[in-house]
Amino acid sequence: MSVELTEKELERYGRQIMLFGEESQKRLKKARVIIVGVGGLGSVSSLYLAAAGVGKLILVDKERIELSNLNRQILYTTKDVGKYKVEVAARRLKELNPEIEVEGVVDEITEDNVKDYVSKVDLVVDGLDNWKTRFILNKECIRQKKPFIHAGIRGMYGQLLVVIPGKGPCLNCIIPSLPEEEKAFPVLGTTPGILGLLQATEVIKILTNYGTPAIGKLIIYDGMDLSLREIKVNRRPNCPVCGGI
Amino acid sequence: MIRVKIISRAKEIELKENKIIAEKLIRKLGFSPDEVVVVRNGEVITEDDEIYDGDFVEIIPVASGG
Ligand SMILES: [Zn+2]
Repeated sequence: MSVELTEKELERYGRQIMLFGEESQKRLKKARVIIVGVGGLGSVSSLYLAAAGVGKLILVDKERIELSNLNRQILYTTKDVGKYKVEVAARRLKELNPEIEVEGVVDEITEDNVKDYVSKVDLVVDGLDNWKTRFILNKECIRQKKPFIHAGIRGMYGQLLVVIPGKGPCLNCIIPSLPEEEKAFPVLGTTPGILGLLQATEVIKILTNYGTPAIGKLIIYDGMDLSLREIKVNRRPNCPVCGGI
Repeated sequence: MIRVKIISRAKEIELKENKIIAEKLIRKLGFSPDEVVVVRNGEVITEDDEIYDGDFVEIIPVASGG
């Protein structure tokens, strides 16, 4: 399927087209991306992916906005408290960029529906706050050979892992067993901001084929002493999730 | 001496040990093995690996929040 860019789109995306060219912009327009969880990470990644012109964004989150979300979930304002996150998020993103399609779904990813959701998109962005669902998504992305852009945050630190099935380690290679879940975690609002931006950057690079994706690198941000580290990580040959591919 | 940096705590500690199993170090610092990644001299190691005098170790708690 070939797509064309309208005059308005050429103007809207002019500065990034200067960077990576019209063909890359067309690739973004054709792309379909799911953002699972529109909390601190998803607020930020979805805003920048919408602004960049990713053709279709699917947002999945079952939660409603709470006042205590607003120190970091920057898609939402005080008057949105009580509303479904995906409803407000979809409206905000459409206001930012009416050229793209945004679908908000009040739902939770489970073993039963994950296959369906992943099959609808080219790439999956992790905006989750629990390991169980991340492991479900990681596994399905490996099965369907679709990139999975993981990030997790706490306090003033967080990690990023770009999973490209078959090319580098998956989440399970790095974290072999499910860590204990933590319900209400401490967090400074800027932390998911930084990690969400790194995720959006990697998504755009992968979709446009511009730059080099961070494959095989665990990226560690630590705001306490402001450092951004990359740690070389390898696939585990005996990984139960990606070992066979 | 083994130098240990714990990501998230902004501090480095020094251990006098000549040798320690990674898992023992993790537990000594109050973590459990499935919630941290241990990096020795820039490379990820497993909980069964040994750490020696002169090594620099980073303990990276994996963050689950979003
Ligand atoms: Zn794996």
